[in-house]
Amino acid sequence: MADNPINDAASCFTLTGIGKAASQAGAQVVLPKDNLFKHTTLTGARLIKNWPIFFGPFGKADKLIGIAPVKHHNRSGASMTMKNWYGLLGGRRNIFHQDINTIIAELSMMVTPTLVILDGTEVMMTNGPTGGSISDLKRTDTLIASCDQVAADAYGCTLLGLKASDLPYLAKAQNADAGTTDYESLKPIFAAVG
Amino acid sequence: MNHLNRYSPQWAESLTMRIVTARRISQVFFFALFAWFCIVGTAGEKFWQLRGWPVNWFLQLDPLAAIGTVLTQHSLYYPLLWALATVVLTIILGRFFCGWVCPFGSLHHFVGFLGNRKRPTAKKVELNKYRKAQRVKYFILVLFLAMAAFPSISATLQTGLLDPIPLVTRSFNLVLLPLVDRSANIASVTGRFYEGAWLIFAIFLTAVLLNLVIPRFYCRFICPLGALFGVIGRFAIWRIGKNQSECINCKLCEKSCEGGCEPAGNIKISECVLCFNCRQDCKHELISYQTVPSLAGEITDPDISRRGFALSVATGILAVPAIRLGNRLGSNWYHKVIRPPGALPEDQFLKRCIKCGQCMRICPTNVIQPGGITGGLENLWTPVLNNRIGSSGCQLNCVACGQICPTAAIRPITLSEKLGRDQFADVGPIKLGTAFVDRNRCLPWAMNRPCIVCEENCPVSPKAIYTQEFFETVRDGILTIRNAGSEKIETVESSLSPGKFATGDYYCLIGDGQRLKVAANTENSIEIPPGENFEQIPAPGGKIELQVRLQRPYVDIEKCIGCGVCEHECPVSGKKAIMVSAEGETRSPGRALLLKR
Repeated sequence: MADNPINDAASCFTLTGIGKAASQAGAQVVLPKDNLFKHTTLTGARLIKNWPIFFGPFGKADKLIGIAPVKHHNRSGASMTMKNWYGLLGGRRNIFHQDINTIIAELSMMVTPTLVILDGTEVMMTNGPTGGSISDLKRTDTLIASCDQVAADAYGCTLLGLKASDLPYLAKAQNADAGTTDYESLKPIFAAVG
Repeated sequence: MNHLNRYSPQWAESLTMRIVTARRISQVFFFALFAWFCIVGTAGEKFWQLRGWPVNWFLQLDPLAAIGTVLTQHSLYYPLLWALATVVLTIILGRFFCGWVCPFGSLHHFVGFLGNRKRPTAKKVELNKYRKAQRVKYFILVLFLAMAAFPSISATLQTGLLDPIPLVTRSFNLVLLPLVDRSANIASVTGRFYEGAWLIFAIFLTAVLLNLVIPRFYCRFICPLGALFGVIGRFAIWRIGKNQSECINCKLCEKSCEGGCEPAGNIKISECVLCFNCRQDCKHELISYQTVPSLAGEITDPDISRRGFALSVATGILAVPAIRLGNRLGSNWYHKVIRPPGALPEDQFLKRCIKCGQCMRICPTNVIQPGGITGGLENLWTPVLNNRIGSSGCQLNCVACGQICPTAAIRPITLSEKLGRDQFADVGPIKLGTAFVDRNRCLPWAMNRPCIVCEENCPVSPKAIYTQEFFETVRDGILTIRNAGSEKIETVESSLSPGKFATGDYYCLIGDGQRLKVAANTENSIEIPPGENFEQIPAPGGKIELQVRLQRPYVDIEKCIGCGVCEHECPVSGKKAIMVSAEGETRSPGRALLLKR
């Protein structure tokens, strides 16, 4: 379990309860220490060139699971599984906000997850991605599991009342063969639980 | 006991061995304990993290911190009651703290021992003789206390500059630990940085190296806490002294004398740090720890003349207004002195802060920094927020600095008070300052580049930073239509950089009506996204404008709490395009920006 969040990482894992849940499940929380970042260049990328990537915890992993909530994100429209890989970037990553759609698409090119889980049980409709208040949340009772992160996000954005075409990074990721925005073509299974 | 000494010298010798050994064990123990408290000052739940370790204990034992704050504020922050124990024990035992407890003293003791151990005995005796300059520490003490004692003139607490406990605390926490931890990352996840730490290091190193010139140089000549113990210790019930008036005057007792108190002659009680080396070194067992004055005579009072005392007091009284001639507490207050949440109003803050650096050590994001002298001489090493350093600004759900502050210069506020919730709902959240957007540097304002990292990161609810949407025509962005299809416009000009406008942030305004997103571009064509349609196919010869969609940030100063997260995250990395300054901070109503409604 690892992330490089905006706020202090150790506090985030403690305050959210993620750290406790991880240790109860037998997982280890890896904090983004400086020495776990490695300068990396993504082939075919325009932005991820010789950039510090939080690679340390994943060097020996054979499976990678991305877990993200559905959140309003003022700059890009929505933050979901693809945008969530921002937590792998180190350095002055905020500079990429100038070209947010390209960086999100490049993140989806860089990471091929085994599985992504998109948490849409309660989605943040506005004032995202940080701060905001409880009143910005809406209960949508949906959990999306997919091997295709682009498809997961293409469906996830509908919970925010958006269409895939509202998020330019989805088309860019699809063009880069990171997945498909046409989630129906993957024949998703909809199951009511509980 | 004296007659026992005479009749069973071997027993007595083993006893003297034991007391020096006990002193060494005590020094190692308290030094290790102090170092341990520095290491565990990291927020966390593991046994080597903060949990409930009493990391302030040495600062609380320090009577100079207690007396200083009582003088300036006429009140005692209750954890400093520990200092009473030190004072009482000093009255009974003498300067035990210096010789047995003080971690800085033990460091000097050890380095002085190492540096001088190979010197001939005569040289050692010479090194450890009493020097007139040992009175300087009393002048320093009186000067500091005089600066603190006259609130009617304007008092300030500056003992922390030289008080050994805050000094060694900040030296360990802000310099040594980050240096050692640089690669290990045990005490903090990311490397810690402290602005101006070089000065703390230089002073620490100088103090330690001076032991090579004269052992315990700092303790003998500079230490104001040692001076205070010297003053209190003159009343000590037990003291070192000779149990016979005559001796062969071999001076071996002064060979390893740590205090430079001349036990061979008229021992200077206020200088004695109870190292007991004299007692061990006297081959004739003429030196005892006793309740009667030395039979060879003793001098209890510190060597500070009435004139020296008066001059020190006068200097102290003049020093405060002199320091304040810069008017840093008045209209010339320095806007970058942003204090941690819960900090007292500035004049009161300066009466309490002992510059120990504990708040800087505990701050999980490293945003609290030792202040420099730009904010006034009194600002040196006091806590100031520098949002350019650390992992983030001041965290919304954190009050660690006020909880650890040993003197309540930063009050131990609750989260409710910080965030203005519950019973503090009427008062509102604590503001540290206000963020100002620099429209000449902000990417969307000055350079027509999308960004709004500041707005995204604003932790306040509702956000204190909000945006408004603008469409700005790019440079040379007015183009003439050569031809148009249902999804594509070809332009007469072929000046576009291919792909540049396909980021999702660019639009094309047709005539002055419809605005459509640009999906792709070549040097002379623009495509709109699939599924989008022109209201009517643009006619050749008409104009289009290539526009960038911008969200430009604004700060709602009624909402902004000055946490600095925006400034930390701003990608304009030199002089930030959004910066917090201390205007509007809660603790200074006089610096309010807005009229009260």
